[in-house]
Parts: sequence; structure tokens; C-alpha cells
Amino acid sequence: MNVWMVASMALLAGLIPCGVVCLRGDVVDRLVGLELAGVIVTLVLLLLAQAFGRVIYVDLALALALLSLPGGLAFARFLERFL
Amino acid sequence: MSPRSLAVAVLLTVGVGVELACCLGVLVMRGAYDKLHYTAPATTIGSLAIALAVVVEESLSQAGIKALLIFAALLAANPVLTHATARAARVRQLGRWQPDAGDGDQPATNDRPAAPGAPDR
Repeated sequence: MNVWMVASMALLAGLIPCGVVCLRGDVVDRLVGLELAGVIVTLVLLLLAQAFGRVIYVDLALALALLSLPGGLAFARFLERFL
Repeated sequence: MSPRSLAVAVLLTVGVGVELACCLGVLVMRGAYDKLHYTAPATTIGSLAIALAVVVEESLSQAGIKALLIFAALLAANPVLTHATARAARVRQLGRWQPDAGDGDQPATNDRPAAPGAPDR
């Protein structure tokens, strides 16, 4: 249980407000909660890779950081045009 | 406690604190436009502090460089996502993206071409 694990567990608690936002309100509000949850999970994956001491796990966080942009853009464009 | 581990602890505390504050801000604020403000510090201050903590611990090794890459990706992606989301919210609200006379967000001018389908004035 090192400092990285403690930080990742604390950061994981930030997903609870994001989940609450994703369950309530307008559909665009839910998209904002989803985008922030993507950022939080990216940083949690980075901290967990450091906690476990495996450099290769950092690639997961990097892939999520790069893929959350087209995902969010697709959601935004879909909400703009079709819903 | 070495200076390096102290710096790591301080950077992680700042990063996690900023992220949690942003989560609470998104939860508390009403409306998508207000909520969108709170995604900016999460991707600038928070992710910079956490990436710097990794760099301080590992120096510029593979993990440190990848942490900086993650910070750069988040930093570049957030303004684009914020703009796209705000645009989607506005289109859903008004039915169009461009401002029009009487919206109150720009002075009405007559030299703009009329929107297609708009009645003649």
C-alpha cells in the first residue's frame, strides 16, 4: 500500500459524483459527467501503473486519453444532430 | 522522508484534491454550460500535478515520458471536447449554432447574409 495506491483510491472516489451526474439531468449534462469521468479514469490508470510498478500499464492510460477525444466528439455530434 | 518523496506526496495531494473538487463542481452546478467550466482545471492543473509526480519519482524514463504524453493528450483534447459539447448544448437549445439578431449575444447587423429558409426582412 504505497502512496500511489492511496492516491488512486482517493481519485477513484471522484467517480461517484460523475456517476450521479450521469444518472440525472439533461442529456448534455450527462455527457459532461462522462467526459470528466474519462479524465478521472485516465489518471487512475496512470496512478495504478505506478503503484504496481509496471511501466507497460501506462499504455492503458495513454490509449484511454487518446481515445476519449473521438468518443466525446462522436457523442457531441450525435446529440447535436440526431437526438 | 526524502525531499523527492515529499515532493511526490505534495504533487499527488494537489492533483487528487483538484480532481475531486472538479467532480464536486460538476455535481453541484446547474446546466451544461456551468458544468463544463469544471472540466478545465481537471485536465490542466490536476493532470499536470499527477504527471509531474510521476516525473519526479521516475525522472524522464519511459514512465515519466508517457505520463507527460498523457498530460499533453488531455490538455489538447479538453478544449475541443468542451467546444463540441457546448455547441451541442446550444444547437439543442436553439436549433442552430450561428447567432441571430435578437439573441442578445451579438449586436444585430444587416450586412450578414440571411440564413437559408429565413423570412425576408
